[in-house]
Amino acid sequence: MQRPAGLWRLCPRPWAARVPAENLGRREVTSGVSPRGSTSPRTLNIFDRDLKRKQKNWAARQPEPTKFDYLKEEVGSRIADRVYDIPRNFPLALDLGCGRGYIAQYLNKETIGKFFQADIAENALKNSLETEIPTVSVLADEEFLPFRENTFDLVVSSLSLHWVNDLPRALEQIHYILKPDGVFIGAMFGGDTLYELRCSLQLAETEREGGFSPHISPFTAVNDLGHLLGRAGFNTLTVDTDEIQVNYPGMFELMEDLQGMGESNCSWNRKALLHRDTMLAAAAVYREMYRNEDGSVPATYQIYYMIGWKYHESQARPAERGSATVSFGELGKINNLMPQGKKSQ
Amino acid sequence: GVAALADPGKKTEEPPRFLVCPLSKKPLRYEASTNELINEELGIAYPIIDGIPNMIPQAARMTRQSKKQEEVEQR
Repeated sequence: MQRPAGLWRLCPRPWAARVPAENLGRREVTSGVSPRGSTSPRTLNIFDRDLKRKQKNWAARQPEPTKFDYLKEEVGSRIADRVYDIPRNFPLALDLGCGRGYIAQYLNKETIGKFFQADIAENALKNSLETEIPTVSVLADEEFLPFRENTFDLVVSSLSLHWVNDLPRALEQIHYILKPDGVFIGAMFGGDTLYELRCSLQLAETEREGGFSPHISPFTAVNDLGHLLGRAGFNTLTVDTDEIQVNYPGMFELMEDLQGMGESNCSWNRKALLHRDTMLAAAAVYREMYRNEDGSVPATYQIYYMIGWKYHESQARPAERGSATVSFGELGKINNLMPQGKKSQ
Repeated sequence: GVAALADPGKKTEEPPRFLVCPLSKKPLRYEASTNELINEELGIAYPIIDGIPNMIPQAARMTRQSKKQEEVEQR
């Protein structure tokens, strides 16, 4: 396996992912320049979406893209599990930010009739993994979905929404393109993702350069995610978290893999260069603080899974407040009450 | 049928009807001669490359601008 030693001098930016959370005020302060004038000035503009597209295209063009697919494969299979948990068929489904089709390969044509695969990187779409489901590829930006209202029975998204500038809007658009009673199943990186790397870089940079700049962007908090889904119109929400720990030989291998996944930093306010000295110090800090017994270093990926439904009148709803006919105090006597109730009907 | 859309080289097939303009959410007209999806109202054309519609707003072509430029060139 060829690992070019000079790679980090060429693009020495760390990584990772960040999701717009709810504290908008602070983010507007931290977000840097917004050179693209097309979006309204009030729109958050933290991430360079063009750069993200280039990074993903670059990653998909690598001779061995499968080498870096382990995380997306794993999360893709877990999303597929959640799709199978719902006992129905989905004639029309969409994978938003599909990459090379990590979810589609785990689903079958009995469950999904037709699968739309949308991503911002054309190389990933052209290189997609095999699936038995009929698929249609569309190049699309998660922030500007090109689909008609009430189109899909199912929308899935795996590890892609953390690079979206305006997450509330993206979720609203997902809600818009779902049919009533349609379901959205998504996975996103959570706040503790790569905390080891974040911590090591901060310590090393503070020590060597007298201050630090963000290299790992902030992620959404899990309770914010619930609020965001609710605000976008979803109901019957399910949000849960999961952690995947991966062991690497060292910090540099971790960073190389992140780049291979197309998960390099694309914040506008990223630092163009990390000094080699700082990088070496960070690798040493990482090893010192988090090393496993066998000498490898762990990296934690925290994943949030979310499920939200678009409203339909057939869905179960809580009864109206005050509409109960039996007191909770009589719960112990429920067996006596039930037959009576049936008789009276 | 549909799989052919994703098949590079085949450009003749019409893209799905529920693709809309990502900006205005209005329906698009398929222009077979240029292999583009066109939003008449806003004057935006989305290209279809290797059978994959490119619906990213930054990649779209402004049809009116180019017409104006042509007019200027003709003068």
